[in-house]
Amino acid sequence: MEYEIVIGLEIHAELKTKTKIFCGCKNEFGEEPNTNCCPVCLGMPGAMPVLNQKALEYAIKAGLAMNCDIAEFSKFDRKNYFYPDTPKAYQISQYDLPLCHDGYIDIELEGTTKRIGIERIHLEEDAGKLIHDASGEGSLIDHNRSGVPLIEIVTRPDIRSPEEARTVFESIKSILEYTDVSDCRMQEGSVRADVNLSVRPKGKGTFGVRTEMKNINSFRAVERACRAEAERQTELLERGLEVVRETRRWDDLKGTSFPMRSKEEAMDYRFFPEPDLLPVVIDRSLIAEIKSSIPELPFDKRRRYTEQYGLPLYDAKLLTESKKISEIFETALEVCKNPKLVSNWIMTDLLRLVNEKGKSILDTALNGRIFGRILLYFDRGEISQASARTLMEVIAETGEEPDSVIDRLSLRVQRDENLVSGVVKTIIRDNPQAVSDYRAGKTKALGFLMGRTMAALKGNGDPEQVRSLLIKELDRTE
Amino acid sequence: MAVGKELLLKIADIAAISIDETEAEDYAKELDSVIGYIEQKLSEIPDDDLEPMEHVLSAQSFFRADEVTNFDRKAELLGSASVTKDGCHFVPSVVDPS
Amino acid sequence: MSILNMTIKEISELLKNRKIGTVELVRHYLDSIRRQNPSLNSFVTTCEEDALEASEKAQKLIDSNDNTSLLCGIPFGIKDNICVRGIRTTAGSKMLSDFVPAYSSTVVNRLVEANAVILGKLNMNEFSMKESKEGNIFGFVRNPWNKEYAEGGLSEGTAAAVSGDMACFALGSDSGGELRQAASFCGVVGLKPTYGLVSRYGLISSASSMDQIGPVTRSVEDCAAVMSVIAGQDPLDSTSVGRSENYLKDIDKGIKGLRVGVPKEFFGSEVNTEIKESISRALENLGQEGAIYKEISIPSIKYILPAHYIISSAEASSNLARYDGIRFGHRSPDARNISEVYRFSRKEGFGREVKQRILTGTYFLSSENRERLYYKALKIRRMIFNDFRKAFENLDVLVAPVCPEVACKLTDVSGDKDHLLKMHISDVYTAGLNLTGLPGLTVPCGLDKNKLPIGIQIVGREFSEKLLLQVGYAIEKTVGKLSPGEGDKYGI
Ligand SMILES: [Zn+2]
Repeated sequence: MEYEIVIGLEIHAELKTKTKIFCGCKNEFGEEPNTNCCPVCLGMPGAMPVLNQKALEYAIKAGLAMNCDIAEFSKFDRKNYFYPDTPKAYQISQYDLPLCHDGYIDIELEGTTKRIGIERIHLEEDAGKLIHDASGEGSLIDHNRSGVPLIEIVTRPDIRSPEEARTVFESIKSILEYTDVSDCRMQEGSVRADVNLSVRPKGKGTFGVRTEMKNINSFRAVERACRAEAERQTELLERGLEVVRETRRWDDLKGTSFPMRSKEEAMDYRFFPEPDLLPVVIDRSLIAEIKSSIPELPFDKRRRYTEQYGLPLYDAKLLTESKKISEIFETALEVCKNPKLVSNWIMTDLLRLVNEKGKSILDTALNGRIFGRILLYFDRGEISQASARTLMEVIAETGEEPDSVIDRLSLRVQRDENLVSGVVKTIIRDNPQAVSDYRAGKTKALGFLMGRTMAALKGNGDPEQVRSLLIKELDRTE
Repeated sequence: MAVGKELLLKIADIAAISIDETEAEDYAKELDSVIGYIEQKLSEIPDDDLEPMEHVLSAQSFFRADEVTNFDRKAELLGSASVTKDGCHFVPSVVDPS
Repeated sequence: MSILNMTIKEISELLKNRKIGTVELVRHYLDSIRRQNPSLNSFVTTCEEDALEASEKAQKLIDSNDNTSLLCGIPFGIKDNICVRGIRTTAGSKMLSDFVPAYSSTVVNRLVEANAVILGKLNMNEFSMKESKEGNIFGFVRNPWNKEYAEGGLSEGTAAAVSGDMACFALGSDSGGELRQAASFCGVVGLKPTYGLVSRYGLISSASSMDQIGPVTRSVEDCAAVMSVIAGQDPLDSTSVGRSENYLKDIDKGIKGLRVGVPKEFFGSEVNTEIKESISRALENLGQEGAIYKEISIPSIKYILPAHYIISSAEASSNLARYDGIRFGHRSPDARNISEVYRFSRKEGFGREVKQRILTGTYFLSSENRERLYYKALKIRRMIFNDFRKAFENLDVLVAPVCPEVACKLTDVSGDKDHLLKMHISDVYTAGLNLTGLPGLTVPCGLDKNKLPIGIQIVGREFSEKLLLQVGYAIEKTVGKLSPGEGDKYGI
């Protein structure tokens, strides 16, 4: 029997506010344990939460970017459970009236577009972090993260394959990055996904029993976890067994998941309205203001790059994957108006340099304007390809202006006909064997002579000019 | 009796309070009598379509500006814990993160 | 000169006229505490050194400035669920018996800014939950009017401290009526402000949607003076929305034309006849001052108790979940794993009644019962709220007893099983205001045949404290000030 996979994702993302969601403590990663905490985020008796307006705005921005309706009236609820990283023994979250609801995102997979529903996006607080004590005696609790604002994005069960799940996760991450509401530091877990997955016989209308896998923090792991879980469930069904509704933990190293708790032992979170916070009423004008601040999003950008610039879909996708790269592309394009050329150089040389030197060079030495200038010179034939490459490497290192490097290293293409002719004559004189090979019809010999001439010109010859002068000279002296 | 010992112990488990078997009976009895009274009272009230009243205030929330206010008495805060280690609160090993 | 049982206003006058000094004043109260507290059991912590230091500072201010606040140098006590930085704050629980907060509540900060002087912390029922079986960790508070008497399941040190001349005023809290009931039992003035008028920041939560901090004072004017300092929005409490006012201004305006409602459901057969008579007399007096009163009916009053019990237990079960032995509070020395840290610490740290309430609240919020019980209670809350609102369409204030009985003998309090339910049933007269958020002021209106005080409760619309205080002032004027041992004067 053929089975269909049904997947829904719940994505948690930390918002990049300056302070925590309900107190004025710094929202910062990587500080000494318990330096950013206060009575509120430690859940001390009598301390009370006050909502950070920026967190609210960021959540609305994410919601608008994902085409959600923004609830004019929304509220907070308590989710009660005991865990050492949860200071109040409840998490302030949103239960029945989330801030954003009924949106969608468009994704592109293998050239086709698909719309994935966003059921809701709500605001909540993050928990602290448990550190396992080296002595093995116990666990340390660091509360720097407790109270960091999070949004939880819940997709509809519209996803039908592990690849699609990965693409949805990637798309949501890039939307969060584009809208500047989250740092999306994946490896630090600032964005993480829970996967709800079930399988059903193809064509069947109702969903199968689903399982949930929690806290997966890479795209690849989401795809792998989905694949493994779909296989596990399919196998169970094929053997006539039942899938148990349960929460599982995905172990990416082992490539397999383990049951954590079944539905019977499921936590009873005893949700109820948070009495310490009043309902949030959102002004239409605030929504309009936030809406106007949303930049062009990756999906639309991609479409524009293919339509307006005639770029292949592959290029457009790569260029829009990160906001920074798309910014470099667009700025460079303002200077050097050759989209395919700029795209090619980004995908090869620029990304290689970013890998070597780090992302920061895109803000300094090799910003879009400078990168565009280098490509403009190359496109105009003022410098050679090799020189353009050298130029980028030097500038990445020294941060100089392109023109001064070109002068200092004499990288400009040599087009003085008298000078180039002179060099060509010398090369012909010094390489009689190649000259006679050429005359004997061995076209390869021309390449050899070209190379020699270019070398003599320190790579700064104009290949077209050198080639035509060589042929002219060879034909003349025959 | 609506609330027996077994249910009481289940509730105690959710509430993370250790209760002896012997105490459980006592707690169950009292819970049962409270619930009995309350359910009887509630049953007198027609379940009409009243909106649940979560907050008595008709006001809406105000917000905090996203500005850092550093709480500078961290040692005092940590000092409230009975067990600490390396500037952290300390508990017996927690294995299964959820 | 004797300052026994003087009001803030009287004492402040003496201070400003240099008839006494602030240090002398503080010593008077510290002596009084030393003398009386062993039997009254009102204070659980005193801060003598800090109090003397603060009073010296206040004296300097008075000496150098003629415009000091009314509360400058005035010594007061604080219920032990209101956090004060550096002073042990227990909420009456073993769980917090060693807890010293690193922060102060907003109300305390405001009083300290007004240069009032903290004498210490006051006894209370564990997390403000009435207790009939074991008492609380500090034992029962006794009634200064008769030390054989308790406060009917209450152990509120606030009213006893003010009535027993151990503090000039006190800050209490009211989640179901404890502040007003204790004030009534001890013959002092108590105000539960409108929910949201006074900041709860630093108040250890019991039932967050109903808790309010309020003053316990010797006179209505004193109550107004304290309210003028502590009321008003606090950026640290999202639920504080009220505006502060000068409550003393126009307090003697009179009550001509005041429309008073007397809900008949509050005056049923379970209310002690002497209390009814005393309130009737107060109403007659109000009538003579120009008020118009009439009997009305608020049928949903009979559902106050179940709704209040459900909501307060549910909220408490969540509020008290943070006491897990990890970040603060008692941690069981016997816990060998994380589950035992939770379960043992909470077993050992909480008293019998608190555990019962947590279990009950957990039951109400569990997925099977939430809709059926908790949300039903929220609907009843709406019904009661609407009924009160409707009553206020044609009325300015309502009048009610605070309790169906006067204070009961200590021997009647402990051990009696049905007493617990009875104790909660007596909350009917007060808890409706916690459910609806409305303000309630209790003022002494007489003594019973055993010379125990009787209080009358005046209920107003939301944020109508100013009017309540004007009405209270008028009642107080006709009754006069009551002090323990002075009951004979009233010829009752
Ligand atoms: Zn904080």
